[in-house]
Amino acid sequence: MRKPSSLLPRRPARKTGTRERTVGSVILLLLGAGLTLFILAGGRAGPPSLVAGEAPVVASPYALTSAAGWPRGAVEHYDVDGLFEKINGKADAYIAFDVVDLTFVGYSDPKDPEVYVDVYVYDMAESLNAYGIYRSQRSGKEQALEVGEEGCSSGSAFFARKGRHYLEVVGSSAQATAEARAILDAVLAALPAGAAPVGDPDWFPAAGRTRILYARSNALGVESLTDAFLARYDDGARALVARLGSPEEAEAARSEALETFEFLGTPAHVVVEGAFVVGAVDAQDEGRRTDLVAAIVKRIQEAP
Amino acid sequence: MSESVSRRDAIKRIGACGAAAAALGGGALWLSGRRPRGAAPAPWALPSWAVAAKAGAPDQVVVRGSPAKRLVEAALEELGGIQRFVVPGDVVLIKPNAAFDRPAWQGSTTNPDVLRAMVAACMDAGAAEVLVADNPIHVPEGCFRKTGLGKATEEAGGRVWLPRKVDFGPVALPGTVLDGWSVFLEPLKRATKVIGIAPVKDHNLARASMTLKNWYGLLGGPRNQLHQKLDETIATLAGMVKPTLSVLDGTRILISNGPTGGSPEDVIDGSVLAMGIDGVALDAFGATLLEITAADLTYLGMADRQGFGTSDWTSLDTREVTV
Amino acid sequence: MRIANVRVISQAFFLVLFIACLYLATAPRIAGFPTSIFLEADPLVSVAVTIATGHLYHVGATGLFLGIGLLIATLILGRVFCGWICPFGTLQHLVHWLGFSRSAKARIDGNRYRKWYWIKYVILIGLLVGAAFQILQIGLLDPIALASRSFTDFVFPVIDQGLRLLGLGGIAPSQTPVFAGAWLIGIVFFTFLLMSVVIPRFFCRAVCPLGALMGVFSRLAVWRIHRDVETCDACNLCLKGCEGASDPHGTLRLSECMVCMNCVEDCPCQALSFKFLPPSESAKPWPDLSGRRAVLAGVGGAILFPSLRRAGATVPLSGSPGWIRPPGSHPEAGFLARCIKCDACLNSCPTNVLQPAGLEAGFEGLWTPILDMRVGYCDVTCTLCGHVCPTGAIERLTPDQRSGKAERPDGGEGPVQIGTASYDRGRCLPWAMDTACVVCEEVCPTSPKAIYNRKQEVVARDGTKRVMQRPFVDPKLCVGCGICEHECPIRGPAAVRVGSHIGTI
Repeated sequence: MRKPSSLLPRRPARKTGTRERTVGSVILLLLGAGLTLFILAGGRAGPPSLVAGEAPVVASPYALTSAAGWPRGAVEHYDVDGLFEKINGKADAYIAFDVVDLTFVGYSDPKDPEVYVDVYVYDMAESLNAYGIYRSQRSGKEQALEVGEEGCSSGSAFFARKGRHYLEVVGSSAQATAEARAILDAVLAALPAGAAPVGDPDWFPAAGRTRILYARSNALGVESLTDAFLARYDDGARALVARLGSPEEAEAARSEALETFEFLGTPAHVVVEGAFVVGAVDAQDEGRRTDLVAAIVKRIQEAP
Repeated sequence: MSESVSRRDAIKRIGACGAAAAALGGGALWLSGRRPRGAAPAPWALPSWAVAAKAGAPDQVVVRGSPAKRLVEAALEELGGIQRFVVPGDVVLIKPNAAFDRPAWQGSTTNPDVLRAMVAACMDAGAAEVLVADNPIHVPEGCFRKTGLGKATEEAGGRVWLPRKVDFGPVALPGTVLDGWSVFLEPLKRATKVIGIAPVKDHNLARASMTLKNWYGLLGGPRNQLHQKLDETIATLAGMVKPTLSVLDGTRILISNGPTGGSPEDVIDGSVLAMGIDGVALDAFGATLLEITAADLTYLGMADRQGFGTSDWTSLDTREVTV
Repeated sequence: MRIANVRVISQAFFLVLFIACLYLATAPRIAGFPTSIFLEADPLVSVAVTIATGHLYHVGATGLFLGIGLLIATLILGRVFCGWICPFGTLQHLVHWLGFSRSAKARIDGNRYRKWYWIKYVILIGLLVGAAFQILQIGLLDPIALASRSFTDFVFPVIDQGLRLLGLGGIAPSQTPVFAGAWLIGIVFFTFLLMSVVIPRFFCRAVCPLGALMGVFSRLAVWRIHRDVETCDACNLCLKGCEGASDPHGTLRLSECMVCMNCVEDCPCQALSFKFLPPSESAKPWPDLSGRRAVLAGVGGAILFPSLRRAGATVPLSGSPGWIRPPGSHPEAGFLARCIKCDACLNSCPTNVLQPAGLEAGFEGLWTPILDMRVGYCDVTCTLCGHVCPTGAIERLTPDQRSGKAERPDGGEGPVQIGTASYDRGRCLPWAMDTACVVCEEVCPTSPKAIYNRKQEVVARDGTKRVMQRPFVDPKLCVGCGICEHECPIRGPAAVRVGSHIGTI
């Protein structure tokens, strides 16, 4: 008997035949081919749930913690009926713009509970309503910001609108400002954009103009002036464009407006242009009012 | 020992290996096209077991008096004899209400004397087999024993068919709440005639449980869910089962605490039995026994509107006799 | 190139490929990789699942057809799978080799056939008879399913944590997954592996039902090992490396031979060769299993399995199980007739919600996937578990089928509802503690939301009235994804929990 080999089998001197070598090579080639096929298969489209980078996450703009790791409190929702509980008398202004839901969340600094950020997100149903409530709530004197469709800040508070949402992100103090800004950006990023961004109409002459506002109805206290944009000027003049359903409705609205202004003693100049009611009130003289209205009518006519 | 195999041996061995490989491959192909076991079979649409009208005989009869056996015999006689409904060689399925394992005097199940008389009548008419089947709420064996319905069946020459899992299959009732529902189908598939015998009972949800609600006992599956749409379900049942004959057993009437009852105060002696081909009309008559009207039973109106029968029982040619 | 060395390369190749498949079977790595290929090419899976369901599950020309293909290869070449491909066999081979050095005599003795190696055939018969009664338990011992499960539930998470401790990143795409009861899976795996230190390939030789199946199918092999008695000097050195303990020094036990080629390599006289149609006398074609044992195993299994199930000993008999199966799963009986406990679904699950069942789903359900919503939640857009399932226990769904926008393979309508959430009003903050919360409503992913609030006026403890938003579930809309339970801030059992689908009509 031969001496047994120790750790690894020492191969006896057996000659490797051509056939063995060929078979061995073929097998190795097959393995290579198999690997190639496997890798090629990996290049194909994957299972449908992964295609097109569909991120498997549940959409919620409110993370459980803020960027700095501040824990989030419970998410509160308020509908039209419940809004008063949260924001009291301010609720009427939002209701006038068809508010659907207020989502409120709070984040607080785990090191100091006195430092916190409150987030109010109002779902206004339509982009134009969000525009309207933003303009009515903001004075225009805040620091403008390049966020959402429009945004601004005032101290540690931030305001913005995007699509049909209007939001207020309020830091408790200067210590919360940075975190409030980060939360504003995060929430804005998660909110859906509107079909088309809403901006200012280009009817109102820019000279001396301070603000543009919007009213769904009851513009300048006249019930039938609906869907109306209002411009304020630094000389106290106010100009208005209300969009009515038809020239007849516009005519009726004009008469009602003139009656109301006469009753209130408001100096006014009001005309009808198509289905639009165009007017100017409170200027220093009749000439200013007439000029303003004429300028607006001209711009409306020129618009496509 | 030879190092090479004979040609014959080689062919045999390669052939065996090839045949086995082919069998495996072929078998796999065949099996890949087969339906998996446990996949639902095709739903079955129930046929109609109704028989033609008989000249001179009414379609509905109300018999008053006692004993129960006499009521059944008299009712059949008035309708033109059992021969009108059962011909020699028929396999008759009788569906009593055996829902609970309670004694018959509690009135929650069909009176065994009525069942016995009906089974005997079918046997006399030359039925090849009389099957008595129900899918009760309580344990089936106990239900047929404690109600006396099992004994009555056997004494009269019938056979009790207790529900087994394999007896159930889906029913085809497109557009209804019961489409695809699991139903106690096997006895129905065997039967050439179907007779329902239902007691008159108060029901806490449907208000009354009579011949139409009795078909509920053919349902399997999670039928406790159907109580969410009970009226719709009962009306659907009226269209699902088109029986040869329906029997409304008013020998005992469960007037309260239905559909289970439990105390003698819940039951009154009705001494009445109605028989006919229109279950909707029979139930409308039955409502009067419970001192309510057909209009109080939502499902009767629904069944009527769908053309499964008439809830105006007085419009039918009804013969009333007393024995 | 010596053929035994080619075999070593092949073994290494398939072991690495097997591990690569497990590594790749997670989102988003999976892409188009056929990561379940080992499970699909496993003939025992093909045969047993087909017996249990009366149908060969396939996806186009692949799926379980692959296992049948491998079985045909076995018919021609014998158990090449065991010696050349099987990753669990290779691991045992490796463990034995690493074990410790031995004298040639000890190695020769270790590779002698032992009488009790017939046990695997009894195991095979028992498992196949069980499958005929829709009791599919091959997954307990099938080497591929066993290895897949052990790597997924135990080996990978442990290595993942180890790597993270060393600061080297992990195996899992995000967090290390955790699997309840993985210790038992690990113990079984390592017990079998370490047994091969004592007896080479103990599992393959004595336990493996897949090897047994292939052993039976080897009997007609046209190529096999042949010993030329004229040249042989009876030195027994061929036993030194015989993986299968198949007696190459005598009459070859064809059903045991793993075609490892070591005997050809080790034979000093070149009396052994792998030969086309060698004389029939040089091999025993049938396994060494007495007919009595085979019949006993068959008949015993045929009586035992259905009796056990009907007695409720192997599976809870209740018609409405309390556990939740992955989306696309067959109804429980059909699921158990298909699931091979390979835990490929657990491996693929991006949220770790899938867990190996302990005994809560009955003995039959051991190590099958169930959802634990406290660990994760079922992402309603994800259908990966069905995508990787080799047997169709979890059917392949597209996201549209899952959400009910496209026709579902089970013929059902609407979204796939794996369960229904319900409230434990004694634990829920707005219900029991006058505290606002509604996290559950917020995270509910259906549209419209299955969880909704109703404002209810309550009288607080101090007598003041206040309005609470209290959550409710719409059972028609709830899909049972469990994110509400997952996110519920109540510690311990959540105040909203997903149970079996509540059927409403």
